[in-house]
Formats: sequence, C-alpha cells, structure tokens
Amino acid sequence: MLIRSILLACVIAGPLFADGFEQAIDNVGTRTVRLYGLKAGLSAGYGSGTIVSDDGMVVTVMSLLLDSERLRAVTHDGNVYGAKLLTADDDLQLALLQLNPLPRYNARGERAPDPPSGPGAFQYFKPGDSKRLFPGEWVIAAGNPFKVAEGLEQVSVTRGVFSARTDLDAKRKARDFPYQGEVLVIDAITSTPGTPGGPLVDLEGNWVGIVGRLVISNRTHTNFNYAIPVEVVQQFIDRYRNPDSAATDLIAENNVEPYHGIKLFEMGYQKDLVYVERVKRGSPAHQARIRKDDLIVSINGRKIADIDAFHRVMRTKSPGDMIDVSVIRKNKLVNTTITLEEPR
Amino acid sequence: MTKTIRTILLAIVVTGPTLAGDEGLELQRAHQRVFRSAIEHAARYTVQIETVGGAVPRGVISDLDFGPTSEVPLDDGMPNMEEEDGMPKEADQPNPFQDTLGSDFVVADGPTTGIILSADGYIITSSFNFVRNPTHITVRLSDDRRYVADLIASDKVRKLALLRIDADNLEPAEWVAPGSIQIGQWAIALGRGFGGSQPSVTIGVVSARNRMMGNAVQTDAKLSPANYGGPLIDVEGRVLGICVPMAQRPGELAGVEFYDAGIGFALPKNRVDAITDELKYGESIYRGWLGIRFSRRPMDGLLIVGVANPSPMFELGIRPGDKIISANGKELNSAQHLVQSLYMVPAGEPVQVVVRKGRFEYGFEPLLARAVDLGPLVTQPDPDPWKPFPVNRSNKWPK
Repeated sequence: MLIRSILLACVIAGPLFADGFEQAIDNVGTRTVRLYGLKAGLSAGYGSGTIVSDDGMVVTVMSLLLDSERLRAVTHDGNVYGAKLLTADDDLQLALLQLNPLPRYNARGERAPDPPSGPGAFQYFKPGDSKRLFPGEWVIAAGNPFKVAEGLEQVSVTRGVFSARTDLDAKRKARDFPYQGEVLVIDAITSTPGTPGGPLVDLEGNWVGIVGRLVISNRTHTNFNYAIPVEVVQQFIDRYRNPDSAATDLIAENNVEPYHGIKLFEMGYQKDLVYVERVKRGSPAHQARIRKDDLIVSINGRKIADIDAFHRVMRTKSPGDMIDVSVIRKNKLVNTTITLEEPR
Repeated sequence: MTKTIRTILLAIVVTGPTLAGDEGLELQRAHQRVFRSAIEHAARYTVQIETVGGAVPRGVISDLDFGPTSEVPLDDGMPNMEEEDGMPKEADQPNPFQDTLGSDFVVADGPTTGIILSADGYIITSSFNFVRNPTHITVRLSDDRRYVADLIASDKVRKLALLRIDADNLEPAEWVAPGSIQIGQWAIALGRGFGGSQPSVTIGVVSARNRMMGNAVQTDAKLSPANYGGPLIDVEGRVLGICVPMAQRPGELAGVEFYDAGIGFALPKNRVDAITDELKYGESIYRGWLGIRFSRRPMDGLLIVGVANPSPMFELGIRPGDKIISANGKELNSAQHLVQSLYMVPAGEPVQVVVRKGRFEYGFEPLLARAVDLGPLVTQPDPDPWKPFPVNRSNKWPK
C-alpha cells in the first residue's frame, strides 16, 4: 500500500523539483523552427529560425541556405512548411521568411491534410527588452546545432549567462562582417553550425535576441558567441511591415574628413602608429593643444590602433562635432577635445 | 504511521509541481542577484589594458614544444653537420635552444584585462597580453580614468605580468585564501577584452585544484583572450585566481587553444605572491633549460648526444654519452616526459636529476638556465671523463 502510494505520488507529481527554467525552455522549444535547404559547397544546408508572428513569420540570419529553391521549415510539433524569403538585410545580416503549408502526399498518392496556417496558427515571440539584461543573468539559446534534432524532436537548448553588451568588430571568412552595431555577448557556445537564427531568451522566457552568424572577433581572434539584440531585429521586421515609414538610421559614412589640422607621420619605420607630425597653426587641433610628436591612442574612448583607423573614424564625423582625443606625450596620457570644422 | 506517510505524500502530490516551479524560478533569480553583486564588486578592481604598436610574433611554433624531445631534437643521434664548401655548417646555425610560443594562435591587438594588485599602482595581468611586444600600454580603470602603464616584468612560465601606473589610493582586489577554494563552488570570470565600459562575464564552477604542477585552479567558466589577466571570482566578489592560458607544455601561448572550451586555469594568491617581489625588482622569469640534446632513437632512452657549453649540465660534468634516468624523483621514459615534468620550472630554479654515467648513477641538482645563456652544443664525448662521486639510489647527497 505504502509502495503503491509512493509510486502514485511520483507519477502524478512528475518533476518534483523544478529548477526555474521551465518557462524559458518551453518558450524557445515551441517558437524555434529548424530550416533545411540545399547543401551547396561550404554551406551547411540547415539552420534555425525564430517565429515572430502568429501567422508564421520567421526571422533568421542570412546564409546561402536561403538561396535554396525548396527551403523547408519544421516546427516543434514536426509539421513541415515551405519557407518563402520576404526580405533580407545585408547590413544586419538578417532575413525574414513566411511559412506556408506545403501540399503533402502519402505513399498511396493521397493528399495529406495541411498543417495549421494563417493568423493564430503559430505560437510566436513578442519582443522583450534586451537593455534590461545585466551581465551574469541567465540566458537560454535554442537552435539545431549540427542538425542533431530530426523528425519530431525538439531543437537543442543551451544555457549560459549574458556576458556583455558591445559593438561587433568581427570577420567572417577573412572579410569584415557587415553588421557592426551592438550585440549581446553570451557565454553559451552558439558559434556552431545550425545554431544562428535561433532565439535567445532570459530566465523568464522573454525574447532578447537572435543568435548571430559565425564570426571571428577582431579583438580576440576567437569564435564569437553573440546575439543580435531584439530591438534591432524588431526594427528590421517593422521596416518590412511599413516600408514607407522606415527611417534609415544607419550612419552614413562621409567620404570627406572634416578639418582638424593634424598631419600624421605617415612614412618610415613605425608608420602604423598614429604620431602627429605637424599641427596647422590656428586649426582646431592647434586650439586643442595637440602637439608635434603626440601619439594619438584613442578618439571618443575607442582605441586608434593605426593611421587607417584614425581616418576611418574621422570620416564618420561631421563639421561641428566635438571629439575627445587621448594622446601619449612624454609618457603621460593627455586628454583634449577637438571641435571639427568644414573640410577645406 | 503508514497513514501519516500517505498524507505527506498526498500533500506533495497536490502542492508539489506549482510550488516547486515557483521555488525554482526564485532560486535562479537569487542566483542572478548573487552573481550581480559579486560582479559589481569585482568590476571595481578589474581594469582594461590597451596596447599600441608591436606585431604578431614570427616563428610562433616549434617542434621543440611538441615533439618527442624538447631539449632539442636530432634526426639520427649524430652531430647535425652538413659539409658545405668543406666547412661544417653548424657553427653558423642559431642557438638551437629558443623559447617558443608553443601555439600557432594568432594574437589579436584588442583590449585585455588586468587586476589592481595594490593601492600604489601595481596591476597584475597575464603576459599573454604583451606577446606582441607593444611600444605603449595604457590602463583604464573602472571609473574611466586612463593612465600610461609601464611593463615592469613578466613571468613567461606562469604567464603573469606586472604593470605599474602612476596612481595612488586605488582599491586593490581582495583574494580568497587558496586553501579554502572548494571544487564545485561557483566561479565567475571577468574580462575587458570585448571592449565596452563594463567587464564581460562568464560563469562556471571550480573544476579542480592544484593543476599544472600544483600551480593552478581549473574552472569550466569560459576563459579566452577576452579575460586572460582578469579575475576569476567567487560569489562574494573575491579573487579565486588570475586567469591565464596554460597547458602541460612550455610556451607563452600554450593553452590558448583551450579557449572557451570549459577548461581554463587561474593562479591563486599564493602563486602570485611567490613571484611579485621578483617582478617588482624588474626581473622577468623565463623558461628554464637544461641545455641538452637527446638521441631520437627510441631504443636509446634518454641518451644525451649534445650538451650546450656553457649550460647547467655541462658545468656539472654531464657529457654526450650519459643518460638521464629521472627528474624531480620521477622515472623518465622519454624526452617528452622530461619536458612535461619541467615545464613549470623557470630558469634559476633547481631540478633534481639522476644521470647514468657508465656503470654508475649520480644525482645532480642543476639550476635551469635561460635559453639565451646557453652556449653552442658540444657533441663529442669527453676524452678524459670526470668521475663524480657515486650517490645512493635514495637521492641523498654524498657527505
């Protein structure tokens, strides 16, 4: 009798101990799709996507996979849909897909009933708030790394913490990665084939980002585990939905450098270092007391490693901008502010 | 009795799932709160280091670090001489003993991480962060104040480096007593290597203690160039150790290949204390060498075919033809084995070796030397061999 009660208790109570991640795992489990397409060359032929509307819109990362004519998406309940590319953004490296039912036939050639589609057919993520994440908070990412999930199996889930928020400075296959905006760095390993495109959620299951493509960080030369913040993803979706009102908030890079009056030492042995060779009298730099032989090490808190970096940063500035410049002069760090002027 | 138990079980059945779910979520929220306060505390003594100038080192890899030998390979156990114009070529060859980086990892030039060691401006960090040999170093404190830093000295064996900035009244890190570190306790690694104004965070547990010849704490928190030189902290924000790349072989970059793999190492307080005085005097610590070359034929065992002159071994009378039997009390069966037992012993520190000369075995205690202090290889056996006193097998010195 006693044993029967214990057994009964176990059966009914199910998980007697819940560790607190149930909601998050349930959310990513039901709202992540596995993508399959043609395998071509180095592309893996599979990936992950995140459902963002109740009628089956899916956000994923750009990849060769999306060029497949027969792109398929499999939901958590094993239903197979066709996926049509709605739009993609090269700068964000994001793509938006629409899931549509595929006509399916069984072995006798009879058409099988379509899986649910249309408004209300899908469980989906509403955008959360990635700005509220604090380093050290739990995060859960989901996707189909190495396409280990098949058939009715759910996607793979990995747990880690949110590490940091930083701008992306990375390479992909030896070329600069186009997206250079803010990313959420995480300590779960998501730099695996098939994981990018899946969702990142916090402990409570709020959607905070999309796992980004495989890149190598320029700062550390290591594989980088990160997610594109949900705010950026949402902007991308909104731009598709209301193409007219879309505000292009990308910083236009001027081709002309505003006037500062600094001539750099561009010849010779240490040509990489940003040494000031001459400062034009009366120029903005002269007023800011920049001197000959100063070594410029940072502008607005960002490191200036070489002369290229100096010009690259300057081209993003406009006349009238004030920039904080740090220089090393006689082994002391000196900070000053230059007010840029019209190019001349 | 039975009835009581049944009632209790029933209670679990009814209230169990919902209550446990909320408790689980509360538990994880509590974890997050604890992590957060530890991180906020430790962020104050975690600094960002930026370097300018320097370059990726060349010749980063050498078979000396991996191959069956370390203290220098040889193809056939014969002197490596190629006759050219009637002149032996060996004299022109560079010193065969050279400190190498031990990995082909290409070091980036992004920011790195350090820990405030003392209120008067000493910063402890990893020598990994200066492999590019930069011309200028700056340190940014957590309150964004920036200073030019001097690299005082570095320990290339334990991968530590000491910086000095011209600042007072800094808030130094608080360290955990090494003896109280428990396997399985939370371990949080902080780094400034990804940029930004706050440290990046990775979390794991202490996986093992006394790794790397008793030097390091092992953790499964993800360590990488983003946090080498930074602190591994406990849930109270105190330093368990300073994160460094490490592997069981010499080389300043050895171990970087484990980055983000869940196998990371940190040096606790006592290992840092053991060398900071030396570093403060500006004395760097280098890889230690015996200065001997072994035969490559496996049947020869640890047969010496070349000894650098000068070198610690040459001065003690060891010559080609002798064999090494054991090092630091460990019986050896290959040259690789010898390297593995010495990779944490820097130049200047003693090693106990037992050497077979002819029919007898002798114990020696040479001080390892820096590669630059070793002379050219002597490959000829001594025509008039010096015969040291025989010692007994218990490694005791003769009276």
